[in-house]
Amino acid sequence: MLLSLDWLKEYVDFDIDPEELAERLSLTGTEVDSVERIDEPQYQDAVLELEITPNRPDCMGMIGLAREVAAFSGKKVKKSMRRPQEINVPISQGVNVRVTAPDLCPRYAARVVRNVKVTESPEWMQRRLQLAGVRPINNAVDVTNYVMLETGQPLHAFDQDRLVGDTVWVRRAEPRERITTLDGDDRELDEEMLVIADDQGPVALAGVMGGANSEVSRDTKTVLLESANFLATGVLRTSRRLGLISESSLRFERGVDIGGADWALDRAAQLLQELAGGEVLKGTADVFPNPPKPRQIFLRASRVNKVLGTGLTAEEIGEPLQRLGMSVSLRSEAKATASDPELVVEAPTFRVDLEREIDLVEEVARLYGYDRIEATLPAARRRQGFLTAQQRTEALTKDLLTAAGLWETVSYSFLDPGELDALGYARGSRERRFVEIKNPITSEQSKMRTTLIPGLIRTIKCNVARGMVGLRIFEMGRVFHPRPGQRLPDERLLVAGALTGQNARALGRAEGPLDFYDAKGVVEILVARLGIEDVFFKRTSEMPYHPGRCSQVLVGEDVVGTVGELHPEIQQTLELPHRVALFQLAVADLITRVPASRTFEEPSRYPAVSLDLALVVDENVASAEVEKIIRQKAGDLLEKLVLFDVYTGSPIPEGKKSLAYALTFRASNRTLDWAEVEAQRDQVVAELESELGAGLRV
Amino acid sequence: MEAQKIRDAIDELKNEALAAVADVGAEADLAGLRHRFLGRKGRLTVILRALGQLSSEERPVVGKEANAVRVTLEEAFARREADLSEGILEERLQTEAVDVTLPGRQPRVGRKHILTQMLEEITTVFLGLGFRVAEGPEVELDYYNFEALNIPQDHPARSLQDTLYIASDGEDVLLRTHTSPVQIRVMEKKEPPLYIIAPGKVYRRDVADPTHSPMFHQVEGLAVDSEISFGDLKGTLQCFVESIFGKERRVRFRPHYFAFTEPSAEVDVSCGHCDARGCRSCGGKGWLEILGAGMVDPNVLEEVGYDSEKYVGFAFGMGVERIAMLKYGLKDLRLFFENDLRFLEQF
Repeated sequence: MLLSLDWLKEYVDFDIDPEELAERLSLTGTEVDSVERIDEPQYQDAVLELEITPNRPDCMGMIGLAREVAAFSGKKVKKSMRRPQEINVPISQGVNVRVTAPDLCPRYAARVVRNVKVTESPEWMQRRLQLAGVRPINNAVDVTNYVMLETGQPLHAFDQDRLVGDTVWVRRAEPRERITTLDGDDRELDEEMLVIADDQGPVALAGVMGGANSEVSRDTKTVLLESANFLATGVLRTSRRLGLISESSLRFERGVDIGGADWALDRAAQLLQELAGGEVLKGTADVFPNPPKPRQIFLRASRVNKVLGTGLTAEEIGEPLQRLGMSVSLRSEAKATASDPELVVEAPTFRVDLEREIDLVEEVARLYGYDRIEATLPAARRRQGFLTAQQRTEALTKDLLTAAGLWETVSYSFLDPGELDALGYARGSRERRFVEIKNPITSEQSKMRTTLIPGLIRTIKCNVARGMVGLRIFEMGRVFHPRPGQRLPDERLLVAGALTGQNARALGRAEGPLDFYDAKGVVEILVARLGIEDVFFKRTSEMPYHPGRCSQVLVGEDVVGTVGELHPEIQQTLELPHRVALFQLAVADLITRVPASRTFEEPSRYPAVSLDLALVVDENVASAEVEKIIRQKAGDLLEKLVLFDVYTGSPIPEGKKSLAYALTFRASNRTLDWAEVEAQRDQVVAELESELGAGLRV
Repeated sequence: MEAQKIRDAIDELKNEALAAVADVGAEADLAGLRHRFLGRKGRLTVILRALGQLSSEERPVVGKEANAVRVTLEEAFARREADLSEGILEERLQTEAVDVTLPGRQPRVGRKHILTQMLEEITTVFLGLGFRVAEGPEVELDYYNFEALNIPQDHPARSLQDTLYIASDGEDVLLRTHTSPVQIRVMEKKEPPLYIIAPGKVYRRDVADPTHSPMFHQVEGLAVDSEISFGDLKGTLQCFVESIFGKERRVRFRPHYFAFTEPSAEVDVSCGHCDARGCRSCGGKGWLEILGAGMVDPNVLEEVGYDSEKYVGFAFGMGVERIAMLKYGLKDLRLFFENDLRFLEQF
């Protein structure tokens, strides 16, 4: 809403500069976005751009804003007392109003002005409309807009000579009934929508927009002025259904002062007469069958002070409410009871937002001043803040991955099914059962993600395109899967990482291209530091991974994730310059396997005995099998087992490979003697030979 | 005569040895020299063997002289050895000098995303104030996102938030537009006193541009207790702002409207460049809006079955991106989700 201060001065006096006024308004709840000064030779003014919150439709008019200014400055609101000059022809001879849908239209008031001369509005009015962002059209239409901006009450002007019959009907639309609105669009209506109609058909969409068939033009002689109150929910629904938003609908959907329709109508008739001449018929056709009773709200001083943390007296509480135009009756504290409290407040009809005690507490607070309420802290009592074990493990997982050299990324939780096509995910795979968005803006954001891999690939592509081809990244976030029979989907927290390329050429940074083992190493470090035992890797083959370089990650029997290189063909299609090594793990599955408690093991103070074991085995023997046997047979004395070389080629025979291990033995309670260690080694070698046909490399 | 010959030989040996010692350049060569002159089969030993041919008067005299030469030579060798080893260390120290301006060998270390860092920073402040961390689903029911928060179907506040809906039978499943539904979920399960924050992702039907994003992060806060007030809300948020932005920044509470709080407030922090006087960096406003807050509306408390006469609550919600943007002078929301390495590496 745009507020001209020159205009505002008609309703309230103030002697502070525009910036200070803006500050005062902001601090009492009318947010000012900007202050623009106008300094022309003929005209000086300042225009404030206001953000009116949905609960305050009364501030969508000059008079409502003047009330706010008056409330914080202690001044009085000035309202024009001029009335139209009526001729001695009763309104009943001009128009009859019949409301057949009182549920949607609790009040409909109309006046008729005859023999008007429709022309341009005077300059002062045009300027004010323009400063408020409204386009001047002609004096009749301008008057309705002017009074709407003044009072917040939307009005409409019909060319009455173009209406068929003497009756204005306020009724629900017939099914499939049509109207061409003032913007030139032909619209189909339904029976939930309220229309203003003549004997023939709709002439306006109630509270939203007038019809082209009754539009006021330069030829108009008789103007029917409408000042009505339409139900907020009805206008909102019609406006949404038709996709048609107007200054009028914006006001009605928030609520318009039902008690102010007649004053606004008189004001419009008087202004129209002033600008366009004409004869105003005597009286108002005002269909207002059930005027609401004044709303009485009980307000307890104790409640105000409890909610705000203040120590205000009943008088101090009542005073700002009175400044806001409410009538307040006070009772002494001694006589007050919960059902008969200190303050009884009557809310004016223009304050549609005031219904409950708490609504008044807010009024007291904002006029007393939020800045005057003392800042305190809640009593601590037995309260304690801490993270759950699960939350700590999630944070630890991120800590470990960053310590392992990975950068955390955050990408959108959406997915384009095309991304899964590009990555070759199989038809019918779990990743293709989506939680779908009903009203997406783009296809890229049409599904909720089922895997974090496409997001990582997006990040890689973005960076590669900008010349950064060496990346080590990870993301932790939820993926979404529909749950049959449940309204809400399954949300699983995953963590996934990608390592690709080489590091930029730099001294001391030489390193080969990152591959499967780099990703696997990160996973190994992660699970080891989380304290998870029993972790296995098992070759698998699934898209989008290289069939020979893909492994399930298992804890015991359960698959908790995957590690693998992106399929070379996909890497090529995506135009990625280097291999991409990926991993993805289910965080919840890791968390449940983190031991709740661990016991300290005292490091031995005795010397260790180390020996190397160079084995020759068939090429297809998995190193994990070899290790398993070594660990089994070497017994408890084996402290550490490290594979330090894998070798194929001469002199190792074709079809064989050499694996070289360093074994460290240590006892907790004595110095080991060599013979003892040799005996263990011989056991290991014998078992390897019988189980795997392994021989010692000579 | 024999004695004179031996004396001459010793003398010659002495001169020769001293010259050679002075000449020698390496420790290894010095050891060879010592072996040659003074070793078990060295030249001095050979000469001394001839002493046996001398008379018993001459033998001790020449012997004594020969020993004096041995001592002299031993000393010379020792001195030379000391000199040499000192020279070698000196040389090593010189040749091993490095260019200290060459880059160090850096261990590779990554970093958490700026948003995670912000979230952790915010969480730490509230843990210290006795709040715990609660979580809720990102795909949410209309009831929790709107209805229970005092935002019924036809409420004008709904048009402020363009919602992404999930394809389902009704219109009742959506992507949460704020973290506030977590308030309801927590209150449904627990009785007061309650002090929680709920960080997480939220969604809006917006095209990504510098100031809009279809996804962003919020932190919700909720406290419900028998004795808490608007003053406590002010104090709590003041603590928060001071921790995040620094003690020199001021906090301002402005009345505002939210459907699920009353009284409601928007909270501003003074511009760090101009101390609220208004400058180019704050668009002349002097104050930067950082969060929304208020006292929990009694309707919301009643909706979850709390006695709104007995309990009072306050709630607040903030955009994590917004706080990061204010803190680091960022101007474009999209940077958070592009994950350009050059962006990530700055935090």
